[in-house]
Amino acid sequence: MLTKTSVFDVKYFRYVLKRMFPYSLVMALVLILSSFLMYGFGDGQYLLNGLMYYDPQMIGLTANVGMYIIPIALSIGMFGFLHKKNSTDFIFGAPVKRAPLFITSIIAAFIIIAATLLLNFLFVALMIEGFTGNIAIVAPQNYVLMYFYNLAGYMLVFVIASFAATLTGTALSQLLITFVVLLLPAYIICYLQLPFVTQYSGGYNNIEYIMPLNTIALLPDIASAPLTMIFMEASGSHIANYFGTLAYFANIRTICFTILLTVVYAVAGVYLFKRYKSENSGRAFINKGVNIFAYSGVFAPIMLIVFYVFAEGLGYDDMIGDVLFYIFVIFVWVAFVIASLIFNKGFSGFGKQMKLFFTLLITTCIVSGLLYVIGDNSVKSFNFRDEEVKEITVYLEPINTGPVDNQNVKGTYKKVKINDPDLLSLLSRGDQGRTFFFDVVTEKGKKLTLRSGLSELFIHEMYNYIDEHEDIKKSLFSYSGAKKIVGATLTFKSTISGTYSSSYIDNMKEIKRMVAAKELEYLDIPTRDLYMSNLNSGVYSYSYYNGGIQAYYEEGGNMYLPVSENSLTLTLSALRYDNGQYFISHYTMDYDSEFFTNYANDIHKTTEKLIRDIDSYSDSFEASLAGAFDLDDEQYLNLSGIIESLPNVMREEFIEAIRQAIKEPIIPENTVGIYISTDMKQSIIFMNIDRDLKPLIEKYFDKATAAIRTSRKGINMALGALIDGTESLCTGFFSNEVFVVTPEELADLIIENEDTVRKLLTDELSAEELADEYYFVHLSSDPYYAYDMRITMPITAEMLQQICPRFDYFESEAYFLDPENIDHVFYENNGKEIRDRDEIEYLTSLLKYHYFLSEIHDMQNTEESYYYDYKYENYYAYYDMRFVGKDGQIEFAQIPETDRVRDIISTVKTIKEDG
Amino acid sequence: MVKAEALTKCFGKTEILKNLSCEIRDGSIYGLIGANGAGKSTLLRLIAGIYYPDDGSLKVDDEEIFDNLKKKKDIVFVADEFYIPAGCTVEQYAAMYSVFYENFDYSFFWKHLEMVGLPLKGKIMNFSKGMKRQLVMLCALACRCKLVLFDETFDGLDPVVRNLMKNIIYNEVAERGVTVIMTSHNLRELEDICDCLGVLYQGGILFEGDIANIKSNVFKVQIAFKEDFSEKNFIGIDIMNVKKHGSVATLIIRGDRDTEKAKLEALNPLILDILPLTLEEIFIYEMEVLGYAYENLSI
Repeated sequence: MLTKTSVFDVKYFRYVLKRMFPYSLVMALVLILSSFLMYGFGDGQYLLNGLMYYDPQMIGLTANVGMYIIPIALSIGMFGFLHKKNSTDFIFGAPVKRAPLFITSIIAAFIIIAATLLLNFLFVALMIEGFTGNIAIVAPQNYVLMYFYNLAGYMLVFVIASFAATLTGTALSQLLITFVVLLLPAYIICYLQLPFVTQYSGGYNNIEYIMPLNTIALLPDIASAPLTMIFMEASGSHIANYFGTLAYFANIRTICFTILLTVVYAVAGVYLFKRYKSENSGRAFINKGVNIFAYSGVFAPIMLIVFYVFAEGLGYDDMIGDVLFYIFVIFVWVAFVIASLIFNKGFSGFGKQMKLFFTLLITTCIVSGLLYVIGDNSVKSFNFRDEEVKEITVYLEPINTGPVDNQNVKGTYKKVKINDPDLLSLLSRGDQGRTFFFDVVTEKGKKLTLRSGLSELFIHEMYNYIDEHEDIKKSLFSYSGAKKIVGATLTFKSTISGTYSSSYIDNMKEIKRMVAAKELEYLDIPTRDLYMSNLNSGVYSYSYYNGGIQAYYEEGGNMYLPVSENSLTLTLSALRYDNGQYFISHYTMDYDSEFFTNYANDIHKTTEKLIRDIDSYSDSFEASLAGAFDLDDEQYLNLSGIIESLPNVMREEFIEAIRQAIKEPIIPENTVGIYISTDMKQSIIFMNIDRDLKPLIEKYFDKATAAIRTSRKGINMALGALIDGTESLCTGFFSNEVFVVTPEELADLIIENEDTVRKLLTDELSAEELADEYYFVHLSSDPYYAYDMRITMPITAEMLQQICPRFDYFESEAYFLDPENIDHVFYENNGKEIRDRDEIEYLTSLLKYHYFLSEIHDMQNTEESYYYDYKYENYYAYYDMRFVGKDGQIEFAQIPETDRVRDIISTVKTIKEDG
Repeated sequence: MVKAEALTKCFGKTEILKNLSCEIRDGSIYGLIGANGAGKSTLLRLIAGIYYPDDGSLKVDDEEIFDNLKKKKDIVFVADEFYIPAGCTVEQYAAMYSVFYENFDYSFFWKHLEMVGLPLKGKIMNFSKGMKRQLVMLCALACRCKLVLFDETFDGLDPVVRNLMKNIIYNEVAERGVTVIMTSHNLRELEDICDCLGVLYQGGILFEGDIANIKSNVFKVQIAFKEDFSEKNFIGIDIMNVKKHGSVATLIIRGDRDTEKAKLEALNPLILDILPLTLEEIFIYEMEVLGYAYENLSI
């Protein structure tokens, strides 16, 4: 029977707390300092910008970095008495029972860790208050969740480290066993998933994905180098990717599971600790062979880390990395010899030391080699001829891949065996582009798992092939089910926007159209089932559907193929609760489609919980419709208008309405889900149409209507651009936006609407004018359009507001905006002089465009990027021109290449500059 | 009473103690002697409940010790290499003991600390090895436990301090009836303090007994006769060793001194001198009787 003394020892508790106090202090300082260094400054400047609100789990992230250091250090400190015979004698000789000693240590650690983390979280909160002056921006529920998530994680790692302490008698071996216990299960599972485990540089943390309930979030690639993450990735982009996923893991279920694991290890620890052989203290393991192997196990990853540091730093192909690695090994050897001489006071015992060293070196090399070979999870390539192929098993990605992105996780894929010779040939040929995996069985019975690439052309060919073969189509359906076959094609779809090779650029649009058209034929299931839960990388990867035609978004590169010019694209978001996590799927679709109504009616059936974490809103506030409602066309139109005109028209009132809705949550009925997204976070709040929105609709009926027309215009412009063959950029079409397709259009836009824009931004614009003339200019530097003239940052309405007054009153520049003041324009590159008055007038009008960009450039401090893009990519070009005034004043400007400019340049004669 | 029966302890495949049996009565000072690696410290750690036996039993007052909180409260163990936390002061060290041993007697501790001339303040790391040992021994005695275990008890102590510490231990035994078990590889260190001695050899008690009995029951006799004589002349006398030089023989005899003397006088010797033996000499002869070379025991 459990008694008070059988589980807890007060005197030992006091003793250990006192003893560990310095540790606790150091831990707290390390965490706080990390928080400050990681988030106080640097590129993110999360604290300075108050962005901690958006992502309070970043505080947890700091704590997570420490999750694999602090609890282990604490455990080594707390059970450090096992590492020396004299301290083992003292503690185990003292009147303390072993089980309560172990349990008491855990309780003490709990208090220390809880206090330390609390200090850290409080400190961060104070920093937010200090930097932003508004502590209220911290979202309490996330904050608390992250606190407990970290607390649970820390305790688990501590208990595992303590469990490890019961198996051995040195700090090093405790460390080794701790990491083995922590990582081996994950590693084994990863290994079993081969070849679907993304390689180290893949940017995905498969251990997280495969083992969603473990807390091993920071050490993704045990296979290659167990500690690499801590040492290398802690400051790299992986962390950025990581915290995107962390949020999904920080839920009650995860915490509970972590606690359960902790209890299991604690119970096992108590059992082993009671039977701990004190005679082993100070020795890793009694068996010498095991001892050496254990130490090698510690050294091997360390050596691998060094290798990785060099290799990563200098590039894998760079031999210097290898050379440096060997230099390092030699250095270690020399250091060992010197240390041996010092500690042995000469060469006595040197031979023994050397023997030990070489034994360690050899075993370390073996262990390193094993780790490297086993850990090298890249799929080996094999050569085989098409005719040798007997059967291919393709892994189709299911529609719902689970709580997070399970791409590359073999177990989540559906197998489809293919025997058709033509299809086999097609598949085995492979291509470039995004990779996929398939098993091949040759005639000789050899089974290979291969990785092949899929290009757009290949996919297109695949579609055609499947389309032409009813039997294959049926076969695929029979394997995967009607819904899943579309999921399978989704895998292929992702290729469409995944990578672009230059050779396909010219054909891209046509390919996409064709592929999309093919896809349509397969979309005979409700579109609402088509989605990919692909949010793990933050807000950058969505899948959108536009009335049945794919609009795929990936990494900021957007592209969509509208059904018709009359379609008004709205965002519909489904909030899904699955396996303890929330997913938001987005759809864009034609508002009057039958599908939309059906979907809207069903949405709440799949929504088990709501996220209500909106406390305040940022400048990047963005909202769109998300819910189920039975609105008539007019209501719907107006509501859409409200949403779409939010940023400027009725922002504050709308936000206030949302606040009210949060305060008084409602059962989703006759409601609209408002999708709120910021750069860092997404949420949905359900609002009652009558209670929350009706007043707004009534009040802003006119403006909303106007705004929605504006939006329609923007989309139509984009459509036009698509239709006339010009590549279009359609980023962020939820708001009022105009999609400026070419510099010429942008220039025209500003030149033609200067007065309107100014009026708009100074609130002088009527609803009618607003409807026609409100523009939100958004430019982008998406890699796909890198050769295009784009500005790297969006030009917001606020910026225009700042520019406008200046735009109208360019003091020094105003002189050049009057064509009457210009004597001639000189083209810098070839010395052509332009003196035609019409041409000068035209070029002067374009000068405003140059001024506009200069202003934007100055405001945004975009350095040289857009100039560079413009000058050297030769798709659109600037012409460097010198405007020479009649008074001799000179203005240098970069005039965009329009057709007329090109004509002007080509027709004028080359005249040498005076003098 | 500490009672070991067929006690076995292995470190890996190596048997450190093999079927060891012994009894240590309450209120005694029991000395364990043996060469390095004989198993002295292991036996002490088993008695202290630090190790658990692989076989056999070890009981204190008829109770198992391992993980027995009640019994361990009465046992304090001073290891050969004692545990002193880094940066610890004398006061903190005493406090550390007092955390675990609720009867820790501060007045005893400070009084005796002063008596042996140890600094009352300051970091222990600055102490000499002997000073540290004194401190740890005093801490152990201040715990007021009924059973005190000292490993390599007087190692590092100078003769003056050694005697001082012996007196303190004597007093503790005399006044409080404490049982003390101490080990040493040097017999001379223990012979004037212990009541009982046990010789550990290759994991077993080779020989044990009360020192007083041993000393009084083994003695050296120098004897000479007119006629030639041999061992056969001494029938009925327990002779452990005989050395004959001419007509004079040196006998090591075990038994009651007066009785054995009377037996020898009855043989009408020309010379009969009874000489005292040191404990070390007694052990040498005892070991020889048991068939072990004394040198191998290194005591």
